Amino acid sequence: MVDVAAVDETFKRLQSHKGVLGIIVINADGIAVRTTFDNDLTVQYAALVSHFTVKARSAVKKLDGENDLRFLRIRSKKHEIMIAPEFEKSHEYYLVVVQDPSQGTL
Amino acid sequence: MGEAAEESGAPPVEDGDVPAAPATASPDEPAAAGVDDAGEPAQEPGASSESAAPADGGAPVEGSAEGGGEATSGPVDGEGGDAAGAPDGAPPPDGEAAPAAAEGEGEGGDAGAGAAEAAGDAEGPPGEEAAEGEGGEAAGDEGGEGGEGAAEGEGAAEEEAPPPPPPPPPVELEPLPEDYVPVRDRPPIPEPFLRNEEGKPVPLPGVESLFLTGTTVDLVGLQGLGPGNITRELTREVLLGDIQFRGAISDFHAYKAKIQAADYEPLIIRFNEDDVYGDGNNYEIALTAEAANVWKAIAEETESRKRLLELEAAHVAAEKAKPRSKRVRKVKPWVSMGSEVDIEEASVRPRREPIRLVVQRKRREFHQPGAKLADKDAHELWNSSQMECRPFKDPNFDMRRMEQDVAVQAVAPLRDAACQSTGAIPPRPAVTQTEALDLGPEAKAELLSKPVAERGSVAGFLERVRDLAEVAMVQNEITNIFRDDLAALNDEADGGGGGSRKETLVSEAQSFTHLTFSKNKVVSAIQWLPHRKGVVAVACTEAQSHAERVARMGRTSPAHILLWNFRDPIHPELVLQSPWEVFAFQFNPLHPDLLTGGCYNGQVVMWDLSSEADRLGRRAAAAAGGGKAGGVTEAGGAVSTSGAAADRLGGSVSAKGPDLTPPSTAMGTTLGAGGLGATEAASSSSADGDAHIPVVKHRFLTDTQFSHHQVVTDLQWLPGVEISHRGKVTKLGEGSKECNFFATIAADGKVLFWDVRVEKLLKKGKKADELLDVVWKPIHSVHLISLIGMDLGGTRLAFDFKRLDQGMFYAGSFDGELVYADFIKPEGEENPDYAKSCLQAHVGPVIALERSPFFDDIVLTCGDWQWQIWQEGQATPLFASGYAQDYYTAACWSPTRPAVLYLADQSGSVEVWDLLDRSHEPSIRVTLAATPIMSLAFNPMPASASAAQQAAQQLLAVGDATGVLRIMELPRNLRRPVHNEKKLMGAWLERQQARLADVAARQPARGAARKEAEERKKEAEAMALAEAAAREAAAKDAAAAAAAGIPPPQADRREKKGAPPPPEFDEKAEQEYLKLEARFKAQLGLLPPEANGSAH
Repeated sequence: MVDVAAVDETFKRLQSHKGVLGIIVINADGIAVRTTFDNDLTVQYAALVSHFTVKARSAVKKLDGENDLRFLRIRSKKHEIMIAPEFEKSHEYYLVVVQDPSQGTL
Repeated sequence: MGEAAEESGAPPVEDGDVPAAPATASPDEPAAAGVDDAGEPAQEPGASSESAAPADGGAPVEGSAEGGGEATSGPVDGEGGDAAGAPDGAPPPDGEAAPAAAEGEGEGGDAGAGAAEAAGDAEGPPGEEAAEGEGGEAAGDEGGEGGEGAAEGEGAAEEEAPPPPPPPPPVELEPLPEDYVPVRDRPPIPEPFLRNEEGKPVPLPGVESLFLTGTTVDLVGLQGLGPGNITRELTREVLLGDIQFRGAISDFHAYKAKIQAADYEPLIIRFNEDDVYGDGNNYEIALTAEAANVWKAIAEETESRKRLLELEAAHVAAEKAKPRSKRVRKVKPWVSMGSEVDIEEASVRPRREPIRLVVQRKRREFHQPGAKLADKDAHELWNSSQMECRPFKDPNFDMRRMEQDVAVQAVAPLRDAACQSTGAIPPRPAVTQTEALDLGPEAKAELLSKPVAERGSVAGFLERVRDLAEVAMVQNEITNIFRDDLAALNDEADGGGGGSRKETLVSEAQSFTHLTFSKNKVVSAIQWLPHRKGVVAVACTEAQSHAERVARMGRTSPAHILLWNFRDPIHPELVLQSPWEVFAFQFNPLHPDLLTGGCYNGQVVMWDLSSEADRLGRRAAAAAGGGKAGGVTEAGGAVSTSGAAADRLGGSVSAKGPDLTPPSTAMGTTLGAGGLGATEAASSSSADGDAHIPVVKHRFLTDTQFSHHQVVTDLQWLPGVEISHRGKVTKLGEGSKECNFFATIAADGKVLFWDVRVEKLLKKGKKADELLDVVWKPIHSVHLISLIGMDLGGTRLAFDFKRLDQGMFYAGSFDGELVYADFIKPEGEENPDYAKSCLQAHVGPVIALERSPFFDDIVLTCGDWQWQIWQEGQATPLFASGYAQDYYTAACWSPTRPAVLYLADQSGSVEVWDLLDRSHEPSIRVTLAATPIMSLAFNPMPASASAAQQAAQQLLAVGDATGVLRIMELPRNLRRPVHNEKKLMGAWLERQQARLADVAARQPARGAARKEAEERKKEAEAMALAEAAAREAAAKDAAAAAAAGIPPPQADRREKKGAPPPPEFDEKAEQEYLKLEARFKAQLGLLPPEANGSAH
């Protein structure tokens, strides 16, 4: 239970940043373990982001076998999607943060 | 004759290489009468074995030559004898090789024989048939002479009819023999008579032609003979019995001896129905066996051919009945058309023996080492051109892979679910539906609650990646991630004043001048036509000084306003004529067909272009190429606007009273009235080629008495307001399309307001003709007084069009004053002072007074060598420029850049001031002309155009003092506003305000300080003066003392001038000074030695 609190705390901390629209933790199977989005959006993000990240990683690795993807920022017209996949260590989860800094804090 | 015919037939025809067939060839021996170039032997049936046989069958050749033409070769043979020589009627031998000529000849023979079926035989093409028929007739006519004819005729047109192959034997019919010759290809049936030299038929030898009366016919039993059945056999006894019975009257009596001598039995009598011999007889009798045999053979042959024809027809019918695929195809034999010659020419044949070459090598040199091989370093060969196989990196071996064992589950777990599919087209209800994987809440909770240190803990993961995410988020927060850097870069590049030469160059796009109307005149006013692109109106005035004008005062001097269209740089599109020179004019901004101008004598003129606009529009449309969309719409626009204007004018007339003439009539009479109030197009004959330029005369002229009394210097339309006689202003509704008032200012100190609806002035019930009597008076008049109490010599007007109803306006004067006044007449005052303030802005006349298009309260003034920026209500200018080298002549704001001003000066230059760039000197200075520039105007843009559009097309019209109008294209950086330029300019203005405020605030202190400083300066000056005076006096004393003995002339002079030394002078100091002076003089050698010595 202590660690659930730690997870909650991290989420709160991340959400305190300006314009954060949502945070998702996805596991390696593309299943959202924890989310602040509603269910539909979470499923969409989980499926699409995990695929995309795997692709991006494969691109990086194919360019240089020793290299690996560390962090992914997708800047769109409306917001930015930041993905921290942590491939190097466990490769168990992805952290996805969607931020529109032009908006205020949620 | 027969011999002749045979001989004639024998000679081979044209081709020398064709062996001639002997005339006496046996029937079995086919006469190779001719070989055609295809190599096919044209074999002919053999000639008759009996020379007695009629051989004139060769004659048709003559005919063929006539009709057929270019037969190259052909058998010419006496095949006429064929029939005779083939008594058994057998088909001719070698039927398949029978030349086509045979046909023609056969026809000829038939025709000659007069056989009716000849025509039926001829189944060839019509032309051929005709030729053949002709030939046949000719043959029949010419008879024995056919021999020569044959020699010339060289055979019939054999190429016209290649021998058709025999039809194959049908199964069910009696089969035709393999070498069957169709009947029509067979030689003709010989004639049952001979032909004499003229070709006329004569009876065969042993045949007697006789005439049998009907009685005889009945007696001997010859009844029933006729066509198809023409012979009858009679025994000799019958004939002799007839002779015996009837004696001399018997028809046979004359031939009794011959009948008795006949060598065969029974005798044959033939019906000669056509009287072929022309002797009137109707029967003939064969009295010899030979003749009888001929007849019999002919009859048999005819019979057999008839049968064969039937058989052939049956075969043809059977063939036609078969399906197309089963029919026998006729294989045409190869016919030379000359291609073998081409092949011969094209084929290459060696012309000489092949060259033989023997290469030898000595035996002992075999197997000797020829090349020397040596070792070479590989790197020497790399990159060398000799190397054939270059090293390369094979990507296949780059990656080292460990063995992999990967398994993939490709099928998602099945699940039953129901859903409503969306109606795709075509409906696909069976689309695979997928469901996202999910974990149960317990599993999730378990994952989330894993301790940090444990593998797979969410908390541990988050701890590790949190910082990364936070860094990114903070970065996003501190910079604007949505800023388009490239766009900003573009803006900076635009505003930076850099860029290529083209982007910063003010270039001349076009220039206009007209020899008659504008050359050497001053372009005193320019305006772009509102609502029309590329048309500029220019007012030209004489380049005369005031004195010259005064000298010719009172005389009208017609002046012109020219409308230049970019399409025609030579001829103005329209010329507006005015009785006086026009110094200011303006188009009605809402009804662009109306144009008013202020004249030199103070009158105001109005033109109405509505009648012209129609024409101009049409012309523009035609010039645009008849159908160009833009031109058409433009024309349409012009028409509609003119219509609107006409309606409006007319409407005001009719609104006045229903009993007036209809508007159109009113317009018409006005047109016809001429003189004062007429619009009339007249051709100008002043210059060559200008005849077509329409000249429009003014429509109305204001009444002199009520007009200005001096030159009208500025004119402004006042859209959207209604001004009453008492100077009351009513604002019309937003978006009102009414613009009926304009204001003029003149040097007589008056600002007059006019109503353009002149017809309104008509008294009710008056006819439109009396428009001439209308006195066009100003509606309202504002009198301005200058600083020195005289009439203000007004030069420029500037209204605030957004707040017209408040009545505040600026006016500039000839004396450089800037008046801020209110044209609304206060209640109850008869002679109110309209001016709120009157300030001395410039030294010379105010030549420009313009509100900034971006800041409502900012006004640009320009006069003499300086321009100033004023803020409404301020008594001092916000900003005043430094003094320029040349006298300014025109100034205006940039319509698109809030911080940019354009100024023109007397030297022919245009200055561009970018206040954000620098304010102490112009940013750009372009010399456009050698003559002073008199006016500037920007092309107007519709309000609907976006800023970018406006910036895209910006043209500056520049008029100079020699009548040339130049259209300048401005560079991009002058057209496009810098990013946030209005804001920056606002800040600049605020800084100027702050500066002014600061100056004002420090005014007292500064004044005091200045006063103090001045006082101190005065004191210091006084002290210095006193000191100097004292010193001078002392010097004089000393000099006097030193030069006591021999006073130098200088000392004398000084003594005369100098004031007496003050008594209280310090003796000691004096002594010292004198000493110094004396020494100094001695050093300079000014003093004589005695004096020097005495001094010491």
